[in-house]
Amino acid sequence: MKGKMKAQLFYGPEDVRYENINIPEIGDDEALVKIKSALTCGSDLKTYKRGHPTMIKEASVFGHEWAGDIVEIGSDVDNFKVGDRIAAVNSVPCYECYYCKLERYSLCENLIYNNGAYAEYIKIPGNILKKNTYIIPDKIDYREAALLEPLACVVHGIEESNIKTDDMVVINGAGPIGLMFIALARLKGALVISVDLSDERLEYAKDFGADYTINASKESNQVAAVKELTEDKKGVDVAVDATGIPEVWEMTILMGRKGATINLFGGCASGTSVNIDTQLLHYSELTIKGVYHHTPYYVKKAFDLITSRQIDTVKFITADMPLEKLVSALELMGQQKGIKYNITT
Amino acid sequence: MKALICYNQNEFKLEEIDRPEIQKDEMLIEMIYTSLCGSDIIKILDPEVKKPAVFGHEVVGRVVKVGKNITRFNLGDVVVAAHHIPCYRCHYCLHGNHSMCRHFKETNIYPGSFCQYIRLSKEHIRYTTFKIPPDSNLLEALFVEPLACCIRAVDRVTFRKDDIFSVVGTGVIGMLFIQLIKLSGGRVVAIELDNDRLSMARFLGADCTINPSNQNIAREIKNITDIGVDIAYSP
Repeated sequence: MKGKMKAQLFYGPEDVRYENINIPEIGDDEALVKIKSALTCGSDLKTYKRGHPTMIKEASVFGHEWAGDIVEIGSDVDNFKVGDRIAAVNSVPCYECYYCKLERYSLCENLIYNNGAYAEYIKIPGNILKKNTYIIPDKIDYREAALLEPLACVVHGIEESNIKTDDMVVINGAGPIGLMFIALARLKGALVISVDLSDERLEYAKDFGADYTINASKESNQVAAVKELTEDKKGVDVAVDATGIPEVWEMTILMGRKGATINLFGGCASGTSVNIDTQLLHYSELTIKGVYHHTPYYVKKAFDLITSRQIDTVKFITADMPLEKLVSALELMGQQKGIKYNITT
Repeated sequence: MKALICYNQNEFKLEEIDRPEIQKDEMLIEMIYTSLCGSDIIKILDPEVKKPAVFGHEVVGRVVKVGKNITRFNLGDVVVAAHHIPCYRCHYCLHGNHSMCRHFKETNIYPGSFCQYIRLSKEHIRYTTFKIPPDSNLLEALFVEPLACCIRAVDRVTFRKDDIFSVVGTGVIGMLFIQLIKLSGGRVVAIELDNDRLSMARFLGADCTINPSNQNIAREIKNITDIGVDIAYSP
């Protein structure tokens, strides 16, 4: 499809421009989609503020959580047609590299990211179309389906957290990702403690099922405040970071009981590091792990969670915002106002 | 090219058939070695399997023709290829049960490996074809595909050092199992009707052997472990 479209382009930190650019041209195994919903993500905010280490090159379209309609399709595509309502994620493993052969698909050496949801149209590369794209059932709105990618990441995070029924789980951070962790931890039968600095967000946390909330800005020692809620103050069974702040990573580690699983999920700024008490790690037999991105299995699980309505997707979307107001939406996220914004054209 | 055509279980003919054509994403290999798998025998004996056909899928070959889009392989490379390819999209693939995938079951090398030249598809080249270092023993390389099946089966059971395995049947797969179990620190009781195979099983590391044609399996097992083996394989 020849022509121009409106898009938000990332040029550098705090330099995002609303421009008219060419509609992407598609190859024989690709599809062109008219974006119906694009959701703001914490990583878009990070990109806006400081750039992104892997996903975004300078002067390029960005945004990666979306749903829309196929408007043009390559001649080799046989599993989708023009008019299909679809949601897709932003990458697909190659299935060829060493890590894919180990079935560690999120570590694939050849993950190529598909960005450009903050635009009128987006192109879906052939391999994503073949293996990581889903048709949205009629009863599900575009903006609900657009939650597919972040939810897939969090399903991955939950499955790596070793949560057992009735475990005490702390989720540090009640942004979009933290709130998804709360909802999914509840589905696992856990008791959930939500820690955040904002009362507004802690209200959301309760709404998504948090059993306890702690406003860290009102506590002199948030680690002690978390441990206080556990039997004999021994600490939680599972501690998750969903903030991406190194100091919070350190506190997350300290919140666990002996033998706890610590999931440091939130990605921190590059060049940062954390301190871990070696005696604590050794004698408490902590399992400390990083979890990144999603795999096609978790994408399917997330899709099923959305379509079966086990996750109340609508609650994650605070308001609709037009594409030209993207920067305002990201700024609102930065001020911890609302959860996600639905960007529409 | 020459191909061994199976007309029925008692009739095979070595015939001239057309050498496979290749497209831009495919390549042609010349068979160097091929081997007969138990599953080939099952297909040959099964009246439901369509014949005439060229069977065989365990193959070591030399690349003799490459499509113009092929970059990872060159003329003269010696390769092994596994014949089935998962779709990586269906329920089974997403759950890691790739061998249950319908696409996996339907894909194959063409026309089979009991012939001179074999076509490898784009998917074979991408996912299941591996170069063999030129100084390796090419006959040994024939075992890549069957050994992969056995490794998968061993990976699927949980066991500890010195756990006792029974391996019932010591054909090629049983013999591979015996070696894998020994490598992983287990102990092996090999059970087999053929005494020559049992000597081979002992040579490959089996700790005990039982020939049910003249020994009572239950009693013999009881002599080794009165509570039964930890893991039983019946390849």
